[in-house]
Amino acid sequence: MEACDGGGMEFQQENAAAAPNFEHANPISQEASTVAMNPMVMMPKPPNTHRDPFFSPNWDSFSSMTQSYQTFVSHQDFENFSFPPVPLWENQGMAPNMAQYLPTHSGFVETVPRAPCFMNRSLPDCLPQGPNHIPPGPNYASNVEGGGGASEGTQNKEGEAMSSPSSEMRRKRTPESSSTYDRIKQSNEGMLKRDASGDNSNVQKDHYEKKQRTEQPEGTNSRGKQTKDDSNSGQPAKENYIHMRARRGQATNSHSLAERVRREKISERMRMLQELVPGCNKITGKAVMLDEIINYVQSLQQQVEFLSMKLSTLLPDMSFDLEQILSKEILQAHNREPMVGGLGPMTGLTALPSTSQYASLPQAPLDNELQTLFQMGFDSTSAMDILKHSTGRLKPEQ
Amino acid sequence: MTFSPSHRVDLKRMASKASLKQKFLKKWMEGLRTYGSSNPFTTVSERKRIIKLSADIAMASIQEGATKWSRALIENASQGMDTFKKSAMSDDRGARLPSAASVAKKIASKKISKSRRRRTRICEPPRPKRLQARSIAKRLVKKRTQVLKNLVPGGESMDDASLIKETLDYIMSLQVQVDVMRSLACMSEHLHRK
Repeated sequence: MEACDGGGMEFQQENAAAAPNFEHANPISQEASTVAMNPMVMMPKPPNTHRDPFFSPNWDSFSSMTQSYQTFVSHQDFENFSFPPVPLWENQGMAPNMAQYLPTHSGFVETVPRAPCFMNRSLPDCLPQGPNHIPPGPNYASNVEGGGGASEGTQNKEGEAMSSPSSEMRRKRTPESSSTYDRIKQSNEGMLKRDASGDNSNVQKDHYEKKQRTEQPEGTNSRGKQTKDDSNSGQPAKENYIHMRARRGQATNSHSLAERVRREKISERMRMLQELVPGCNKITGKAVMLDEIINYVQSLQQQVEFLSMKLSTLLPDMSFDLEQILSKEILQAHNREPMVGGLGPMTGLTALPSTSQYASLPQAPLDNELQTLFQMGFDSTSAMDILKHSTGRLKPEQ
Repeated sequence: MTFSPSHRVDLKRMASKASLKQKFLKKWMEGLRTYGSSNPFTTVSERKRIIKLSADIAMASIQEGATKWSRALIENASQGMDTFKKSAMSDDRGARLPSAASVAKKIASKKISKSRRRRTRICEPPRPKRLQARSIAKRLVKKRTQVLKNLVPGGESMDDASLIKETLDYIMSLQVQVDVMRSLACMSEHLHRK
């Protein structure tokens, strides 16, 4: 964050037609071409031709965005991070500085999405996600359509194209980049006039007030949960916001764009959740979906509690030497019982979440379980195959 | 299993789940062995608590600090482990993060959430009549978001979008945890029956 703040102050200095800090920020920007510092560093030095390698490839894709919109957006974000309340991008100070920043819009907007951690103001998003992240399938990516800007389309396409051959981590950046993009729009929205329609403006206001400290954008998060139409497409209204913002006359397209993109992102993630939570395929409302998710998480947590209690009763000696146990049992089981081919390895476990069914499991599944567990714990290569077979039935299906 | 368009996603997810299960089991067993050797517990409830805490820590450490809930979970579990001579555990994996930083982060997040809550009260009442249904739905969503935030460890300081993402990861890890524990329990039960 230090570089961010330095960038903010540096921005002000740039307005004063002096950029002594920028030279020292240059190496940072060169390292961080796809990391947080980029937009902050790039922004103050638009007319510099040295920066062209960063800007030029990006300008084409975002040529459709309105110029002034992005300027406000960029300044908006700087406002978040600079220490003093900078009046530079309030009404008056903007006009003379606008001109020099006009050429940089498209570049800026492109670079900002590449810096999700910077814009999101939350560290976890910067870090690579764990293996748990579910790579959004093609159906997910196609749904992230964006409000209609060609730039959004290209951005998402880039994300898709980039993510399809790549790892989960990079795929994760697609929603991240779109989220950052949303936030830019949100910030612009925050600067501009508010909505007149009461509901959305209320929610938006709540959220703006919520996020005052950390993040100005994200105003329509809870609104996004509504899955309602975008009737609040930018009717201006006067609201009382704590945070000081300049009000700009902007096209309402950006409003609906931002809101729609934000909502799309949230609904996309809700769809991913739908796949995880069993039995939620037919649910189409965010409130109901949230309810289901809550119930499911609670039930999972209760299951963990119950299972740990059960394990504590079953293993009084706390000797978890699985190898010995499993190897012994496997040998004994093989000698004792003929294989009963009726059931699959874990069908008993899959079909029935309750433990009362465990008593009825025959021996053959137990052997396979033992093998699975044994190999799960102690042999990574073959365990993958076994687990692939077994988890096909392990996954509690709706 | 239905062959839906998301079948591909299911397969991918299952493959990742399998690897998660391995990792989880390994780490869990490691921790339990470490603990079991140093602290012989006799009470069922103590054992249960240890099992659960070590499972939580294992699950969270798999994430390697990439998700918020995992970090919060490790912090919570470390506090729980304190009563069980944390020193034995923290050497393994309880302190992936420097405790000072994590505590500070927790405090910071609490501060932020508190300030957010204070500020949310300064809001206009929803317009009546035709927009009432919408405001009802909104309130519902807000309430449930709050409940979800309480459920997911470390969820209070998240915004909605990242909350959903964290919930996704958390649910997946919980599923892995439950599956592994269940199969272990089932296996132990059958072993004891013989």
